[in-house]
Amino acid sequence: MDHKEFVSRVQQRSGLDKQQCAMLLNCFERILQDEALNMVDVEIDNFGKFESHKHPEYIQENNETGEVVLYPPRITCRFRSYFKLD
Amino acid sequence: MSKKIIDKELLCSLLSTYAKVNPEVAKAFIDSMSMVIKQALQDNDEVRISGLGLFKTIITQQGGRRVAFTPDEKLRTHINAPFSCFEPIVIGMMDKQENQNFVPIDENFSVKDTSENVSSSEEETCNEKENIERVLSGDIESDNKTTDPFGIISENIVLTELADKEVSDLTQEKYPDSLLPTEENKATDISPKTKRSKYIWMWMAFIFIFIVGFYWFMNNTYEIKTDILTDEQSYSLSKEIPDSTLSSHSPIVYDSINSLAVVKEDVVFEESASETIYTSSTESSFPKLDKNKDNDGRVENLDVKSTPSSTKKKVNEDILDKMIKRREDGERVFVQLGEGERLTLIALREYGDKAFWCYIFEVNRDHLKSPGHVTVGVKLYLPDEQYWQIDSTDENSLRKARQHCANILKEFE
Repeated sequence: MDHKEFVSRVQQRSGLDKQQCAMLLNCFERILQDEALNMVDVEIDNFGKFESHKHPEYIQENNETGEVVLYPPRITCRFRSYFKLD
Repeated sequence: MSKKIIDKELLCSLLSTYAKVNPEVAKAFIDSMSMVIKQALQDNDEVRISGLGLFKTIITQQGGRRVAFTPDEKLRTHINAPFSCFEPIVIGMMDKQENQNFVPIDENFSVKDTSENVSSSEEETCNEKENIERVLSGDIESDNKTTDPFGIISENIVLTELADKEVSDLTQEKYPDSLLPTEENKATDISPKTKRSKYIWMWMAFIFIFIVGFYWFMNNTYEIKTDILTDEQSYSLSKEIPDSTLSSHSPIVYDSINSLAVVKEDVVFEESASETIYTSSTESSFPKLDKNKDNDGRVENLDVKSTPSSTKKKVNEDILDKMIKRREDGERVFVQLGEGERLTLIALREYGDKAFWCYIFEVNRDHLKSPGHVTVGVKLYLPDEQYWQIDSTDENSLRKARQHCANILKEFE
């Protein structure tokens, strides 16, 4: 399911305008990005939780080339589902 | 420290604020969105939302299914914006030979017998610890053979220094100067080996400067060069020197230590058969030397400096005898060059024109480097006037001499 199909399905289910639905989806993405940047989790009941994790800088050795590389810190976003798949 | 969590209600209020819609509309959107995604995943379908990510199902090891979320590139870029200035840096290379067994450098080295008593082995262990501490504190070279027979410690130190150097080079390239440690901090971090190499360079530079200075001093002290004057210079000098000075003769004082002739006026010598040199000490006992006059008084064993034979042309002795001016008794007439004298001045004094210096140079070619490089105290034979057709009143003779001078100067350019 691509982005357009997803928007149309949400529109059908919620009964909202397509343009309004796209705008709400865009705002949801922005909220999620801003809160992940501030290391804040976003939780939706009966669906799941978007978690952000900060990984500090680390040193890793490449066994093939023998290079020792220092990687910078980074933040990752993960999703933990609250529902089970059949 | 517990993380902040935005629940569904707060999310709906935020969404309504952002989108400027009713909170109920926002809640309906959230519910619909979650239900659509959940339904698609239940149907084993992927949901790709641009700007958010990809929801998909994966099969676990137990055979079940679970939801997997891959954030979109836009989301990852946005949340990692504070670290966008950093990039992975290669800080070194791992030595693959590090885990190999070390082979002893000294062939005569042998592992000590284990049957020694415990006390001696304990003492050796203590001594080894002390030696290792000394090595690490900087006395590597002096105790290298005794404490580090395998070269393990020194090799590790060299590897550590190389790693430090590479890290410092990378940090200088990557970070601005304001973030790097200051000179004061660097000064405290200089290792003993670096200090030692610094002192060695300083000593080498000092020795080099000393050698250059000593060479320069010796050259300028033991050799005074005389140059050929230009026409204007020699003319002005000849005007400055009166005829009375040219005719007067003062004693020569030869300093054998500094090899400097102290005579400032012209002195003319003649060579006798017994290889002694006559010179004028007083006007009465040593009268003015004339071309047709002999000298009185004598100074025996006078050491006259002569230049080494580094000439370009070797003139045959027979031809040379004809070239050089002689007295009535057959002895060669020569002049010892005093301080401040030049070939042109001698030519002016002896032959009446400075253009005849070229003939003086020609007859003394075998012991003169160049016309501009005549050492003070050197013995110069005077050319024969008839052989060289020297006549200061004859224009042809002068023109010929000038042409000869020009050829010599061109030769030594």
